[in-house]
Amino acid sequence: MTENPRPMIDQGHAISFQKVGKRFCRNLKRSLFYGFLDVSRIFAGAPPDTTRLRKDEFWALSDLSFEVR
Amino acid sequence: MQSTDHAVYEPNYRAKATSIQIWSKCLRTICRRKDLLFYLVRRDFLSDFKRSFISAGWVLITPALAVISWLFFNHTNILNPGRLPIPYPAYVLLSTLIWKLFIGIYQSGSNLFFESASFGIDVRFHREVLLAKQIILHVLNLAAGLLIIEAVLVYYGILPTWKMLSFPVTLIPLILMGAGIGLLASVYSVVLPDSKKWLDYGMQLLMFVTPVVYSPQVDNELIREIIRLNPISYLLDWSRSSLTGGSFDHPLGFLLGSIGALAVFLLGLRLLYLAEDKVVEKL
Repeated sequence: MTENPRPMIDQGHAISFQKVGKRFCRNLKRSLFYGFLDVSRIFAGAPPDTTRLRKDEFWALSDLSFEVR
Repeated sequence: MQSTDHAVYEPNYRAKATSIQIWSKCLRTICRRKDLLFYLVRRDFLSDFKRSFISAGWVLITPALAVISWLFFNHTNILNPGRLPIPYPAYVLLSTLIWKLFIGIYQSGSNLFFESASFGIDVRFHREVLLAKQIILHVLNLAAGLLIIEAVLVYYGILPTWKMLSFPVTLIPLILMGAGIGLLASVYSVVLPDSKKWLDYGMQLLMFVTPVVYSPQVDNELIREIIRLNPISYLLDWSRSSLTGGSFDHPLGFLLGSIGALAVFLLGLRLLYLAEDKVVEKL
């Protein structure tokens, strides 16, 4: 998170989303295992790739952009 | 209304923070939320007593019940505590009280995500404040239990010495160790639930390889070696000695144990900050 003001964002927006997505995993145990892998990778300083799908994963939302004024 | 202050969230934004930034941010969060912290401590401390018929009496009853069970084991010769510097009831009461602080903070730390699960998914909540609250509550309970301890110690002729002043300082590494292991467990308990069960079992076992209910000078060579390698033995021993006026043995063991405790705590805080978003998704 960058907490410093950024000039490129329109100050009139209450909230602005740019190219956001949400993925889920069909298999609960695999989902937890992915969580374990992701957490371990973040801890080791190698953050996971959030743009690609793994086995049993699907995009519930993808490449979504909108603004609330 | 126009605002010049806003936050920007990017993918993996937390991973970009350095360890120093993470630790100072956690500290600043607790300082900024001190009113919330005070409110939560007050609420939890009083709510325990408000709902109980015996009320504040539990502060004295809990350690008294613990000491009775250990006295029973000792009296029936099931347990051979070894050579002790002070009478067994005083030793076991003091040791279990300190151990309870360590294990209580570990348990609270390891349940950090589950404690805040009801609102933590929807609301951005600072879990470091919850951890600080739990630590303060455990310290308050220990302070209340100390009243009974001091009475027992005086009864056995162990009068307070100047070393008693160092008691709060000697507790710090134990608190850090308990909180650090708890924080590491809290993250992995969500994404790898089996790990917490194993760790909980390991922590129960740890009590029996730490001189809590028996002396460090046991006859069994294997147990003696495990105690020697167990950093918590030294941390516990120094806390106990500060109240009984005993000697501060093995300063190197205490120093290394304290450094280890600090390292585990800082690693735990780092993991909490880095993994929080990912873990909340899995609750």
